[in-house]
Amino acid sequence: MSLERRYGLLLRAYPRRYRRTRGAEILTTLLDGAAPGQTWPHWRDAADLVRGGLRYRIMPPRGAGYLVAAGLSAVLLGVIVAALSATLTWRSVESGDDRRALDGFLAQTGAVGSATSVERLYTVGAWQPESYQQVNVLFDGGRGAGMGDVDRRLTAAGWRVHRLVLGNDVTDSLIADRDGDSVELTFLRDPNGATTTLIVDYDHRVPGRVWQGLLGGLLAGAAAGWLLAAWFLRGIREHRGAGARAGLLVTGLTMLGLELVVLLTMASYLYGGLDGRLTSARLLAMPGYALADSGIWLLLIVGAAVAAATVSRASSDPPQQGEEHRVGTVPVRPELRGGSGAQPG
Amino acid sequence: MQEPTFLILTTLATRPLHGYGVIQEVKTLSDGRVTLRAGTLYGALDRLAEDGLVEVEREEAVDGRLRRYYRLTREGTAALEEEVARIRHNADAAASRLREARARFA
Repeated sequence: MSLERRYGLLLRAYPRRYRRTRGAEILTTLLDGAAPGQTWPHWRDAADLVRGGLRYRIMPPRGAGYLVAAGLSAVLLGVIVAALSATLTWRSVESGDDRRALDGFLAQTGAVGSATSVERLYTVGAWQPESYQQVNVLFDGGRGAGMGDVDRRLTAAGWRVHRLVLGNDVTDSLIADRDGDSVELTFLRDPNGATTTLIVDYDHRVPGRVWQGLLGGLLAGAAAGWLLAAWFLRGIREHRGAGARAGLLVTGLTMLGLELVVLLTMASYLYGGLDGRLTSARLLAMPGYALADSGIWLLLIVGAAVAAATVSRASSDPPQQGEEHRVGTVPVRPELRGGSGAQPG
Repeated sequence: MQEPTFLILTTLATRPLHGYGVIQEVKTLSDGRVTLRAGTLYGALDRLAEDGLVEVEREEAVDGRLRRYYRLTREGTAALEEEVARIRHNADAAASRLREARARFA
């Protein structure tokens, strides 16, 4: 293999778009500097090319606006992939038998009666993650336990119990937690005193592996979001035609809409999750559920499609009247165009 | 302005140069202290071009190989002059302080 060929392979560290306009020139410079008879690239040149290529792939164009856009894209994809990854991990490690866990808890409360409904809670257009359920249980007025009794039973079973003062005479509430599980019990008394309806929100602890899935998804999604944004923004930066600007506008508005959904959902959960049952896993998962369940994810596809089409077209089309042609990021005067696009390797 | 950037602008002050020409001139100007690698050089040229300090002057094909020649723009010349003035001012200030110190301890 010749030195030229080996340098060509190293130049593959750079994106194809960059190589198409710069590769032949860099290769010439490298070969100009080679010693007579040299067949292998100097390791410093190799390291320098790889570092330069990776830097070009990773970094968006210079400028605060580009950095903010790449950062927002990283947050958006990070949250979505984290939600997806946490959900898949959770489902893979949980038995899925939330009802049994709930029944076990109810046995500890001394509740009499049967569940009238067992369901997942719905919110912001999406269901809560696993093990978050609502059950109605009837207490028979004469034989069933009251809140004080439930408090004592749970405390004896090792639960840490906090009573809530609600300020009315028909509703009582307490929160208890043990080993990462938490539960909220609301007692609704019949005005006649015949029955008490117990509403249980049982919140199973987050399995340890879910955190690993969450973190892995967050990092992978954020990295992908950053790299995609960097790729897109570089393409726009290097081709400043009207089509590219329109594509940038559509993609930007789409991404901004998605960001708003994510951030507002997280804000609503932060605001509403002050009772201590909100976990970081849920906080990160909710925007993903909200996006997935509400159909807003279609916007993501539209935005991505427009972005890909815009950059692809801008990269392949010759510059039109009024468009600026650039070599990498170096503007080239019109009379110099043509005959310089040899691609190495 | 970092030293490699300063040296690249300096090499282009008198005449347009292609990439390898810039590398050689930088080595000469710095008495062999600074050796630019191709990846570093073209990263710097990209940034300088974005800032409007250098531009492509012409392209040539020599033995089937592409060479682009770069030159300073008017803004590049002004930026280099400004940097030279800044360095000179700092050097003068440092030399003056050193003379004072020598006089005090003499």
